[in-house]
Amino acid sequence: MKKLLLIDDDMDEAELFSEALETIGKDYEFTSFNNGQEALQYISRSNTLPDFIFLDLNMPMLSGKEILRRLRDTTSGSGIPVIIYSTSITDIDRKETSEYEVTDYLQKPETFEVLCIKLKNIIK
Amino acid sequence: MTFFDKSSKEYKDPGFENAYKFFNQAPVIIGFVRGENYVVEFANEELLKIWKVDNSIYGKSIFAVFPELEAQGFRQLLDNVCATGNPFTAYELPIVFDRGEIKDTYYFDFIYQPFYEGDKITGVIAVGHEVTEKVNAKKTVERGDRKWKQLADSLPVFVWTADEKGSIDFLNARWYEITGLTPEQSLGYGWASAMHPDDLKRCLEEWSYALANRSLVEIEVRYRQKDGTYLWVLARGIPVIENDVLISWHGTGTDISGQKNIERKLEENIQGRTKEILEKTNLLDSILQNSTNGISVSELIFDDAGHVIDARTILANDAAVQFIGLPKEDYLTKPATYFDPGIISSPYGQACIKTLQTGEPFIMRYFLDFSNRWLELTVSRMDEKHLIHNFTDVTTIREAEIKLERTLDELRYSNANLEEFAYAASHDLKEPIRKSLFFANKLKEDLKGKLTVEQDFLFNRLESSQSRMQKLIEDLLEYSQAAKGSADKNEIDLNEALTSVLEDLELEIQKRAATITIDKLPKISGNKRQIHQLFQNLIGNALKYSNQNQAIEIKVSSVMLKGVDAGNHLPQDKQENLFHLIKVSDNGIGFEQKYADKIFKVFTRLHSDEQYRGSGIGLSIVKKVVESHNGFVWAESEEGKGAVFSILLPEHSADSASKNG
Repeated sequence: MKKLLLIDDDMDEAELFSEALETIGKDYEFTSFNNGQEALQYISRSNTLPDFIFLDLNMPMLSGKEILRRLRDTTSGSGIPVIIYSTSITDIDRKETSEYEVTDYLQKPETFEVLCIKLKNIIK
Repeated sequence: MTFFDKSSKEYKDPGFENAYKFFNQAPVIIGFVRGENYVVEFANEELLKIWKVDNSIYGKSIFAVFPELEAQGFRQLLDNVCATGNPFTAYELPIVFDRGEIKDTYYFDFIYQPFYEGDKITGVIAVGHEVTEKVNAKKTVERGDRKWKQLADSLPVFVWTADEKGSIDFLNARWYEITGLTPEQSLGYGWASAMHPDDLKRCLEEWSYALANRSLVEIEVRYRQKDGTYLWVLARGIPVIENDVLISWHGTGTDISGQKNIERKLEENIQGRTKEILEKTNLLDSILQNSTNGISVSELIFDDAGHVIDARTILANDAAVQFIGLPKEDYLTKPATYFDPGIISSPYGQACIKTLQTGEPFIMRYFLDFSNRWLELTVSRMDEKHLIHNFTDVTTIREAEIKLERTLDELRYSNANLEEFAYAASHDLKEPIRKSLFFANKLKEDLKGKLTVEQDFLFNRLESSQSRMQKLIEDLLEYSQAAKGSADKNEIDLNEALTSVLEDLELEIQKRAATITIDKLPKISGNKRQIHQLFQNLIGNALKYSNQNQAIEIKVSSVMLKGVDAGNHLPQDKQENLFHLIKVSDNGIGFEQKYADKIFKVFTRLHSDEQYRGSGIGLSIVKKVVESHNGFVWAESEEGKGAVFSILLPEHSADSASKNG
């Protein structure tokens, strides 16, 4: 069973994400956090590391980029595949995050159908 | 019978003989003539010697022996003595003896004394002595004197002599000629009446001094001439001293009016020149003092090795003193290091030294705390150890500059804020609009098959509006980000940039069967992403606003030119700069020229969304990118006849980019 982690301040996203994962199959353990602080704590204490982390960029307190930097600084978090998951992803965003080994960039889709397809492609 | 008849008895008397001998040998001339014919009855030896005869002359008439004497009037003389009884006395009377070839002249002092016999005069006794030598000597002196005087008279100078007391006893003809005075008016101290009153006192003093000290006197004085004008004369007097006795004075007076005129003219010239210099100096002084610019001159002080170690202000006008704000006495006496020990090594001090060495003036601005004024100081070299400092109060200019800078800063800040706001707004709006789209779509999917046609249509309109809003927001975001990274500039080959854009638009180009001709384009310094966006928007624009019933032709050309040759699109200060003019022309629908400026404004569109979809942001981004590259853009068109977009990008934009980046 794949373990997925979403870090996004928008709780709607977690709900939609969960629904999309149910739509494409039940083999996923899904956890979400609405702030980086808690997410990083969770990762550092967890026995099993997530297979994928979906990370929003635009968040209050800790930004996505800062969370990514801190994650890569920890031994446990240094190797986890991270997918940037944001409404708009600019060239600058790509440039600023590329040094922290980003697996993929996923712009938040505009339909549920597209969301399901994208997720399926990434985690298969 | 003769007077001294030796045969007479009287002659025989020893007393008579002694008397005869006495007369005969006396060292004077003694002669005696008697009778109407003046027969010589006695002539002593002294007389015979002169007559050059012996006593055979006795008994002969004097005029028979010396007929020449009759011609010289002696018979008359003797007749007169005899007739009147008055003796005749002669001094230095010349008598000429005719001796054949030679005429001997003798001079005599003598007396003709009538000889009485009873009360009747019967003869004349002559007693006297010869003074020929004395007379001749006297004549020689007289001749010399005359020569001297003639010489004196012929000289073009005054010649004078004075006795030992200083009284003038001779003045030459020149004197009388020039002054028109007579000897009576001139001699003694009469000459003083002809002297210029201003010179007289001085002259008399000098003359008295010379008389008292027997010293040479030399003085320049003026004498009144006949016509009343004055003549400048150099008067000299020399004492004549013999055996330590002052005999007389000799002197001259030389006309020095020519010399004096020259002197006067020279003096006038000097006075005129002095006046001129004084006037100029006064003028310069006046300019210096009244100048509102501070002007000062400093003198550099060197050590033995020739290094500048200090300086001192040696001149400063009031304005300079005011600008500097130091007490004038201190400012003009104390060395610069007294006021600022570090002044020589300061940038100002070093600039001064450089100016002194190179002669290149420098300009510096600084703020004076005490007076709250901004000064502009120009320093230039006067000579190898002096500098001229010129202070100007530029407070007004500086305040305006500062205000302008502040305004510009505010403007930049405001622009940045606006971009920041646009970015933040569009970025934050993206999320809710996406979710609105997302949920509308999900709702529609959930309700699939349960919606009426009318409801389905409404859903479509909802989606369409949401999409349009999303597009606007995205374009606004793009616009706000268009100038980002302007500082990050590299050399860009525009041909390569354009090729990359054409690759992105390949599908569209193929679909519209567009022909795109590209000339050789230059390399410029720019931001790669921005330039990509620029061409993408321009080519995209040309593809979009095309004639539906005509094959699309797009042409991109380039030429290098001066700003002045590019039309009225540049400000004055860029007219001489070099630019690349890049033209993108199409054969599309074009637009009316009056909209040529409007099309570059944000969200300005000339067509409805139904006709041509778009948000009206494309050309705004083009303008923004061009401006962030210090360039200029404008459009020319005629409705239905295609459009030409012209872009001026600076040549060597690498330099200007780094300056303005």
